[in-house]
Amino acid sequence: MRHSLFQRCVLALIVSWLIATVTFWCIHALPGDLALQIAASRYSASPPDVLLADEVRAHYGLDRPLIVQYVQWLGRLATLDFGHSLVTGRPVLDEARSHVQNTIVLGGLSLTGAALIAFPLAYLAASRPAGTIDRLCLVYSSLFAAVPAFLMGIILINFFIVGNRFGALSGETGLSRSVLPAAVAAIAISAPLLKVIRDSVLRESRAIHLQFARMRGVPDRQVFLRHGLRNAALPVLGYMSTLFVYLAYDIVVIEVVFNYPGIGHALYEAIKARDIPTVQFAVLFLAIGYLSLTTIVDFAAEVLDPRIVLGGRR
Amino acid sequence: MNDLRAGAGMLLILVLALLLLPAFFDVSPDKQSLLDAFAPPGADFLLGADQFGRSVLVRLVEGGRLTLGLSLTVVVLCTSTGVALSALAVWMGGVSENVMTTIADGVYAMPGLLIVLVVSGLLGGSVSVMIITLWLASWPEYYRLTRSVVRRATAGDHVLASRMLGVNPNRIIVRQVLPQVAPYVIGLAVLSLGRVVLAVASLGFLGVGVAAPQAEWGAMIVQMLPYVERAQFQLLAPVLAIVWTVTACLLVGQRLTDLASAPGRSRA
Repeated sequence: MRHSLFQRCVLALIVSWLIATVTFWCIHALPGDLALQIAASRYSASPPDVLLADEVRAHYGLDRPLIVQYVQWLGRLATLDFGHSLVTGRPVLDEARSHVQNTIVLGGLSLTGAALIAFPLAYLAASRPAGTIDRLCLVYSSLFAAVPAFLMGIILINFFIVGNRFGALSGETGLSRSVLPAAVAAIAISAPLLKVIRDSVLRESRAIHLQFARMRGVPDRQVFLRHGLRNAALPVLGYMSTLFVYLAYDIVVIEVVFNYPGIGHALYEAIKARDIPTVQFAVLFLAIGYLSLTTIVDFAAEVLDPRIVLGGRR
Repeated sequence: MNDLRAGAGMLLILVLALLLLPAFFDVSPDKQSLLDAFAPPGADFLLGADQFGRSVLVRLVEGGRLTLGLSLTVVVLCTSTGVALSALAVWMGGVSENVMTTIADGVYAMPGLLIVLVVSGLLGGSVSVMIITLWLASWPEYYRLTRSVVRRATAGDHVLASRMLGVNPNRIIVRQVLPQVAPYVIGLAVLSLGRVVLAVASLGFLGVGVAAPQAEWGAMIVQMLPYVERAQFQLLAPVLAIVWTVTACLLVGQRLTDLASAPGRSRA
């Protein structure tokens, strides 16, 4: 267990390094003079001032060879120095603190909401296959799997905020601000999740050992909890990591649609403004959040299934 | 079975519309005529005109051709990479399989769509950038999903018999393994076609997808949003186009993968 935890951490480190590298090279592959852009955006030199740009170039070391810049930049990253935002000039970490908090609130609310929708509904659906609830659930999951999150966001905004209904839901601050975006994310995640859980529970409840348990006279309610739940949970956990890919992306989209001050929104604004340090921090934060979620899920799978040994190939 | 037929019908209608309709258009999708801005649906503009007086129908078809062409390219690239690499990995086994699986796991461990968003946002929306990033970010999923199917197909007695008879490995893979894998892979491809269409649309909506004058469904939605009061049709058209396409792909893909994996499991 400890060994595989170590391996996961190494994998996470490698992946973070890869992501950081990809963003670094993308940014330096951009057309245009970086120093001139910094001079223009940060010191608001307009018309673009070549002398100021040269000063910026020397100050940030942008005149050195790319590979040197890359190594120096990695070194700073390793000491958690993310540099200063090119737009505001303040340290990226200070800027991002509240964004990170907001995103964690939003992500937590969305996952909780999705679980609250998907698990009970899936259980009800699977307990009576082809019944009314099962059919409704199928409609729910096929419908919302086909409606992109940004569309759901627009519809909710028009209904609640522009239409000014349910004032409490459209609050400007605190938890109420997170309710609508979290609802969209929860619906978007719960739609495919519901289907996966329902199929898995149904498959498991038809398993021979469950039928035998029923024959032995184990009470109906206990049969599934005792003998089926562990097995049914495995495909669901396996699906989670795919789900988190969409969550990481949907969070950005939803924060932009709702103008929610989270890290995804900051990332989007930074991409538009070419604010490189902020882009790098935001991508790394979201990627590490994603990695920790998948790691937790993998560990849950390992605890539930003695056959899986993490780090083992087969 | 019904939903398979419904989905296939929806896909057929979509493909026919995208292929045949342009023959009847005599205007370019970028042709502006400001006098006709926000023209309601009528004889000249079947689905109305947008804020620059461009025909929404023409742009819808144009955007659909782009989105579907792009998504198909990505899906074909990903499935062929996935199938080829997993067949190779299973066949060679040992260290080579471990190396390939480790690489696939490493790439799979990245939040793919997020990286696509950042890279295409930074490099500017071009079709080739989107195709390449979507491809690089998503092939491991196909590799992982097809590897177990390939493994099951390779484990069959007839494959063993062919190997004992000394049949050329290439021939075994092409004639015996691939036909068994194909139904599942086709289902998977259709299913993920829907997902890629969704991703492309939301990239377009964020404004980091395909660059501006080019018609694209997500971009069309975001352009019409400020005018929701007077241009409902023009806004609704791309919305319905996205939902139609994705629903069709999900219905067909889900049913095909279900059909393909059910008999495979009992055979194994």
